Amino acid sequence: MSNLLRAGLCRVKKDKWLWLGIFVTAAYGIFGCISQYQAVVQYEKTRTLEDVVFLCIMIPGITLAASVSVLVGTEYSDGTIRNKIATGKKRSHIYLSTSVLCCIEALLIYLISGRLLLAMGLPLFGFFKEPLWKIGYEYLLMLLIFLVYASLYQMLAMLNQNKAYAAIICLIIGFLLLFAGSYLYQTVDSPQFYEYAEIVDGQAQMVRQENPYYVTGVRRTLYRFLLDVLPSGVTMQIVTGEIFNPVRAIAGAVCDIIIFNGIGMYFFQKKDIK
Amino acid sequence: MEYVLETRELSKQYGHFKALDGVTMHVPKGSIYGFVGKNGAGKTTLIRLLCGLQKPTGGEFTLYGKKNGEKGIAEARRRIGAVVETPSIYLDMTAEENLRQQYMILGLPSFDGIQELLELVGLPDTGKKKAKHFSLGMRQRLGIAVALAGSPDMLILDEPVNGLDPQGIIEIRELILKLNREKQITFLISSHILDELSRLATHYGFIDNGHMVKEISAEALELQCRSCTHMEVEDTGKLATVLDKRKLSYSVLSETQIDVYGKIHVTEFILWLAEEGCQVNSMQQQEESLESYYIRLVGGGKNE
Repeated sequence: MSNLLRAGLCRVKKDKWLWLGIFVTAAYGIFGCISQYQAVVQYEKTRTLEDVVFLCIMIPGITLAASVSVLVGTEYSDGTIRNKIATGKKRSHIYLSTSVLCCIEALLIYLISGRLLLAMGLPLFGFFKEPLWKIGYEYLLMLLIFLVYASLYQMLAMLNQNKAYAAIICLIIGFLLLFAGSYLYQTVDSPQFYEYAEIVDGQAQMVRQENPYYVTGVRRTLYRFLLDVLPSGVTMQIVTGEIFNPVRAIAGAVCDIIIFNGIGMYFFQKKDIK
Repeated sequence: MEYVLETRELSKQYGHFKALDGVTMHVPKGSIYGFVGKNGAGKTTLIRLLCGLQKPTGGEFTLYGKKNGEKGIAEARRRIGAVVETPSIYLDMTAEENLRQQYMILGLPSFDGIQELLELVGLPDTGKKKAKHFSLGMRQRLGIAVALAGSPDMLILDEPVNGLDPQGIIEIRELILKLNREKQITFLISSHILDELSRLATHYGFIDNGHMVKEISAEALELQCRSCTHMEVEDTGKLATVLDKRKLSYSVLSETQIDVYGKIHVTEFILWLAEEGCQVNSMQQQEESLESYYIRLVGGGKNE
């Protein structure tokens, strides 16, 4: 497997899509950072370093979809995966080595864009206000989310021999996850009651009204569960700095990585390759 | 005869479609085995099974003494190189980078030999040109170079001259012959271009609709295909005496029919027979090409 890794690392170094992914992720974070700083300067809003350093986590669902699907898809489109199998490499080794390469791509995007945001945010917003253990936890969770996306897209790309289809499927799933995570977070985070002022007989009175979109019971439990197991759900929690269940979020991400790799490897072993 | 590859009743089914149906074949060591069949006959499917890209649904094969499914099959596969359908090369890399990749995958200790390989396949001066800018022939040759990395004992080439121009076809042919003669590499070449195969192959396997129709050596095939004169005579015994005296080869078909192989001078031949008192009733010149042999073998029109 080390031979496969060595050869793969040479490809990663030259992967234009990886560098594009790093650029887009970092650019998105930097743009967000500047916007937040403008809000502080122009509208005197309060923003902390915590509000900006995790902004780059919004994008890997899309950038990794492109870079991982192209990295894996090229093996099929150029036919080079056949060279590995025909020369006696085990499929499990091929899958695992590809998995490591995809994780390295995710790690590079995470480290470079994360470092850039931190370097830019520190002089603008000062040091972290929250305890460092919490920041460390959020960084760890963010890393795991990057790896979840890499595992998910690798699974999809390894099981689809058409590079273009694989890229499209990964991107669609990336966007769907983003929308799903945003919807779930907004639904779960919305208050049970709204309060608003009403003028009765010339006097202002506070009226309390039940939120019709507030979910309860099994549906709420399910939404909370999905928020912790979907990478985009955890993303929303990290960005807003409000993690509902820290243990379940970590466990969910680790389980996602294991499940995606397990499913991918199982079906790849059985797959007829053209 | 020592076989490097043997298949026994090898089958592959996709849903209800049987792509391979009990194929038994034998590839002798050092041979150039021409695997002949029309499009969709099952040639590529068999190659995919041999390379481990797909798993058979029935039967078995033995590669360098290791059965598929045995632990040692991975080791045996390290002794082969393959170009299945299109050349397996990274289009965004140069010829040298492609070979470096394959060297690393194989775990070779150094990159020594890459330049020699490029020279061997006729691509020594491609420099920084990426494979995506190569012609089809150059890609094919690079594909063969990649397959040759690690000095395999056997090369499996699937339609190696498909889509090549005449010059490219000649170059690939020369390369195959050179590798076979100089490095004793065994070749399994699938093709439906019979004329081209007939210039290379030492053995043939004819496949049709997933069945192996016939395996035959090039020598035996030549004997069957070479020009012959079909004769009907009064007594084949007398004719045989004349033929034996003149050291001409023949096959006796019945008491009155005989096939005489090779070119004969008709007037002279009739005079010899007259001397022996053998009456000739009819003579017919026959010639069979590999193509007509194949058509006869697979049933011609019924397979259209």
